[in-house]
Amino acid sequence: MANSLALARRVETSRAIAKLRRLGATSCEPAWLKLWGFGLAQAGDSDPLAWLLTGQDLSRALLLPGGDFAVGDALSAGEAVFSDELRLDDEMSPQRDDVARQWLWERLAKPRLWHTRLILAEPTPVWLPLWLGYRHGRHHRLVIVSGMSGEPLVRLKPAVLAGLAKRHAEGEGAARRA
Amino acid sequence: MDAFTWIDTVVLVVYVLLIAWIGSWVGKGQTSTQDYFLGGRSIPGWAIGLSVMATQASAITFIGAPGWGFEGGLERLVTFINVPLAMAVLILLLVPVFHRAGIYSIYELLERRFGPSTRTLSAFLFLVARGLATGVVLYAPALVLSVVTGWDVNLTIILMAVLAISYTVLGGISAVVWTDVIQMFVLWMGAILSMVLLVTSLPGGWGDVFDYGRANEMFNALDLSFSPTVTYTLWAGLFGGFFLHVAYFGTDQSQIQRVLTSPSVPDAQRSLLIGGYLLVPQMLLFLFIGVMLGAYYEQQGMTAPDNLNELFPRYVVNTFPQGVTGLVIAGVFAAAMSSLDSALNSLSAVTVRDFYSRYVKSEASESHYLKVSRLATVFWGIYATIFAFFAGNLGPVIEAVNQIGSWFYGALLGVFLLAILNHRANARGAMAGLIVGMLAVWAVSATTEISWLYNNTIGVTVSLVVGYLVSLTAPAPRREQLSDVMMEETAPDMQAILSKRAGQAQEIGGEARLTRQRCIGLVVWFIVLMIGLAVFQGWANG
Repeated sequence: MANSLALARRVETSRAIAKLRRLGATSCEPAWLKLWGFGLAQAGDSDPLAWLLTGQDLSRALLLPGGDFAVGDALSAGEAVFSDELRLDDEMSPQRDDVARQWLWERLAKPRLWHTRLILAEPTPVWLPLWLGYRHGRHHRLVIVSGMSGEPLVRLKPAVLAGLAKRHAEGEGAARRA
Repeated sequence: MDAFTWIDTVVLVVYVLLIAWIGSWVGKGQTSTQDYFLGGRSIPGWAIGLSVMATQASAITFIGAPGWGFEGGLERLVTFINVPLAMAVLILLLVPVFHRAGIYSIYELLERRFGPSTRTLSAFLFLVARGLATGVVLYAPALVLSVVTGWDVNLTIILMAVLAISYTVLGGISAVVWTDVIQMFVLWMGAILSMVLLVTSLPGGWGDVFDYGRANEMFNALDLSFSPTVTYTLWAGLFGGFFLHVAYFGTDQSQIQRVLTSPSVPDAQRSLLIGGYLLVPQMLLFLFIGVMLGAYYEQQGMTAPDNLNELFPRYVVNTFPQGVTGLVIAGVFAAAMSSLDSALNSLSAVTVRDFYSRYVKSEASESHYLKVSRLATVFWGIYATIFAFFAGNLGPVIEAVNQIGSWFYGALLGVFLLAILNHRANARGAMAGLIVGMLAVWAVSATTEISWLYNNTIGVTVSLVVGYLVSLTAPAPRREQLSDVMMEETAPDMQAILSKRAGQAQEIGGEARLTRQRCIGLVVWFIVLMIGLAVFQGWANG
């Protein structure tokens, strides 16, 4: 399996807070979500043009233009970038065939993407920077914002909630062992 | 200037080729992924919104609305006056659910919630309704071309169909936002230029237009009659047109596909927001041109064409300067291609995803699905062509599109509302609601004289009530069937986890929420429009 990669966090704290406030959050924290990156290339080409980021808990993948992966300083392969921020990971990679079929439906929905195909290679674990906002009303609500663009990413909610539940269970387990 | 000259022909050909070239150039390579962008988005929201508007209505608005205005002044504006409110409901209620569900066709949501039968029937209804409406969309540019060239309209329909199918099968141009934006500006430029030319050709200028409008009661946009048989009353617009537009923009795959493929909910909302603000003024502009044409025809002692859809294209060809005529006709032509392309694409996508891959061949290769998708495009192109031959008999083209939708979409919207708002509703209720809702629309239309604008209201109401009552006769849905319409975080264990994390996270204080602000903005805009129209009408009636 390829080394895991981390995408650069471009949305700094003040911008994230402003964005999350507009989305109704009352508290926030930075986090990282591990997804699986599948390369996409033009037919007959092997250089990734774009990347599909997906995970077991996601019904649709996120598309990331290749430029962001190609730029050296946008990525760093290592633990250093994380500091002590919340990390949510999904150990299991989705099946390539499932992702290829998912991509087929995306292409049928947008014919001009038709010539972009999934590369036959192992998926790369990719850490995606996020900002998590919490809103307290009748229920506690979660708001997820991309750490790269500042855009809300509602589709990541199942993966983030699963990650939070897993972290919580691990924490409980550790507390019991202690 | 009284004909479509060779200069206009050159402008038309160059424009269409240029748009196609920009489309294919921008669509290639890395930039083709721009609107799925995860970070550093480069296409501004206003451009996406204009692009959505171009796909929705530009060509048929250009052709149909002046005919409306010529015939009845501003009275039919009430059909659209509800659009800001409809967009607010879409932004608040439907878009977040559709987006969160991560679906490719909205009918998938119905399968997850109610099972395969509801999805299949809904997708089938979409195919029938959109296929028919595409016939009208095909007819509109064919009409323009036939007026310009003098060819037989049926021949031009076939020519346009071949062009549109080829465009779509080859990859289409509509997905390129900037070409749509160019088309919108060309059409608006054409509209404004028409107004200037019309005013300058009348001896009394604007005074003549207003005198004509007042004398013929053309400025009575708000008819307060409570009679349900009067087609264009304020109440029909508010209580009928509102459901028409929520259903049209919310349950028609060709309209909602762009929302489903936008990278985030605010992105999707932005595009609807622009439609919410601009659709009414755009319609007002084209209706007003119809009134101006009425004044012009009266002063010139001219007779209007039998088919009012020909009214405005004829005016453009007869009065615009050389070259500009070609540009405006090319704008109509290219905008229609864009609408046809997206309609044929969504019809083909639903055919393959909701039917072929489910019921015929579920594990075929990509190239096989592509082939089927192209064949489906050709099939729907032929279906639309056949219907286009009859479209000229349906009156102004916009009304024809809306009337076709009103037969089906009300009941469909009712089922979506049941799926989202009522957690007790189940598959049996949804099917009953859908079928009885449509039968109710058919029965009311066939046996009463009620305004067609109420069709969607009847469909929504009957399908909601019947759907809920019939649901009570079968067990409640399982929790996993509600996962798309319930907030995942409301489960008690998740609430405890979120509460703990929120307690540890950095406090940032609260602010008015973006979605709420956007919806309030649309409601305020609606009120401003209503007041503006009422004041104008009061002034016109002395």
